[in-house]
Amino acid sequence: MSFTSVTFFIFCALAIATYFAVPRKARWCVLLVFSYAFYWVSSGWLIFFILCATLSTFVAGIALDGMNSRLEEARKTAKIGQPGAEALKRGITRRKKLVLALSLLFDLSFLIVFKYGGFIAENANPALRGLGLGALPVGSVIMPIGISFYTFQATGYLIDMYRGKQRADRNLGKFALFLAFFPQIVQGPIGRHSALAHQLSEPHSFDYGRARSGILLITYGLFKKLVIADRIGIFVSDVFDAGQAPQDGAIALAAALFYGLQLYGDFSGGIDIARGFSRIIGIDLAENFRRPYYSRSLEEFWRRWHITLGEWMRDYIFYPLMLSSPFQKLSHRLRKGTKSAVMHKIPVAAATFVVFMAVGIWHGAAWRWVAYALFNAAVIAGSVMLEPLYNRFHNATGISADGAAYTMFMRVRTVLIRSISLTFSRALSLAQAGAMISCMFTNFSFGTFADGSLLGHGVDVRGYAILICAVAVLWWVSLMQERGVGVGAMIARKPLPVRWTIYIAAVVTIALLSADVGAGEVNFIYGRF
Amino acid sequence: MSDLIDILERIRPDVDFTAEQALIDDGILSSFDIINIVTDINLAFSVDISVADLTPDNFNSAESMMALIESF
Repeated sequence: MSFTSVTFFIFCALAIATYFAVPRKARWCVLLVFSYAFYWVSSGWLIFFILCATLSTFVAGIALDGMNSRLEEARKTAKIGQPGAEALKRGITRRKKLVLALSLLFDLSFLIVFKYGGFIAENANPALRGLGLGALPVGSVIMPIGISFYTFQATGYLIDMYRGKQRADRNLGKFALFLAFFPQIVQGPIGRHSALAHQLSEPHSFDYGRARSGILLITYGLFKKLVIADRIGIFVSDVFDAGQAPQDGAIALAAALFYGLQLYGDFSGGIDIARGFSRIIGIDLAENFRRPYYSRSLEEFWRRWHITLGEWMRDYIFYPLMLSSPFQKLSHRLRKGTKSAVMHKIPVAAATFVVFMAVGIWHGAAWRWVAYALFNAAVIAGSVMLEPLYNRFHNATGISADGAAYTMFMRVRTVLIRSISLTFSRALSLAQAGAMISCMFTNFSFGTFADGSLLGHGVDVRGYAILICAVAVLWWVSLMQERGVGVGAMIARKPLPVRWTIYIAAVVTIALLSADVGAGEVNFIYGRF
Repeated sequence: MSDLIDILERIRPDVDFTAEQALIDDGILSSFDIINIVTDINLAFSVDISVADLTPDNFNSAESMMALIESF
């Protein structure tokens, strides 16, 4: 059930109407029933796996909570010097580690089998055949919908429980809703239990202001998805799905730039729709995008793009790795051994590679995702290592890092670097990605942008005109948001006739401009992750 | 406190750590900054700040960081 289908909107309207119609105490049950109905319709028997993850995580959470309480008691008795308290503390900590490891392994095993089984088999089979051990089955497997998202929510909850950051959820139904809430199950955002679960279980009353704001957000999401992403996606598919590099490097660069635009429209549009529906009910889903194309560096881009994944990686991989004993020892040794600020950055650079390998693998199992991860990590680690040199450059030349021209230069540079990295993620193979990037640098002609070559890939003059206007709207809304001005609130303050003219014009424009894309209903890109 | 301010200003000379009260909430410090700060604090004050201590409350201001150090 696609987020842009009429069926989905009828489903959501029914969910909202039922939610506000039933007694307040039963409202979270309505969300649970609709979430599991959505899952059943979308994935059928694969619902079994989200049920397994829910049950195992719920039980492990309660077990960890019990051990946290006993550990706290043991700490208190150890402080007053009671004999055996230290041994008890060590024993409980060991058991906590065991419960965490087993529950993480259980949850992640489904993800590994469904998402990486084929890749592992493909790469292991030559060795297995060489050893005379036969071969693992290779073939496309239908993944349970949202498995990457709900698995990360579940593992985040388990790690927070292990760290003693929160108490366990003791209501299985409410916990099941936290993992399966239907607006966010397909492509996130990846919610934290501490921020989301209580919102889902609390009864919310209908609020006209929130409903209006939610509908506006849904409309904006549809605009980004249907008018921008699906339209520019025709060009992107035409170039990338050829399976080889185009003759012209400018076409390759245009395809990479356009894919960046498509992905942003598609992913952030889908998130806006999810956040909009949730807002109508009274639930605030986590922010997942903060105008990423205003970033001055790739590192900043990743703080503004897919924020919930970035924060997950930061809290559950980057921080633990950097504060682990080997990394702290290395950091301390480097700080004591050398005054070179560049050398001090080595542990951070190494951890960046680990984090981006995890980001790449999370997206998919293919060598091009590994290349995507290495490219991003190399650029970010490089910029972190070279930061002291940048500072020296600014001091020596007097060029301000915050000046308007330099900021523009950095933003353009970030867009280009991001586009090159996206070539790895969109190409059909690593070889195609390599060939496309190579031709961007060896066979590039600015004339391509003026001689009509861009018209030969499924987007005509009218299509480009629509895209230019749509991107101008996107840019203006983003600029207002960067300046702290909410466009929705700005419209809400207009007189009623003006306000409703804008609302109706927005809906009619989207309906008219998305209807002629001609590709039918286009699935959300992040739905396949 | 002055030792802590020295560490913070060496890592982020562009931030006024004596005045800022929302270093995390306002996104002033990045994850790279936080790790550099924690590593330097661990070394300078002989403490062992763990992942569980990395909460916004503990790092929103120089005062809250000092309180965290003193809790060891």
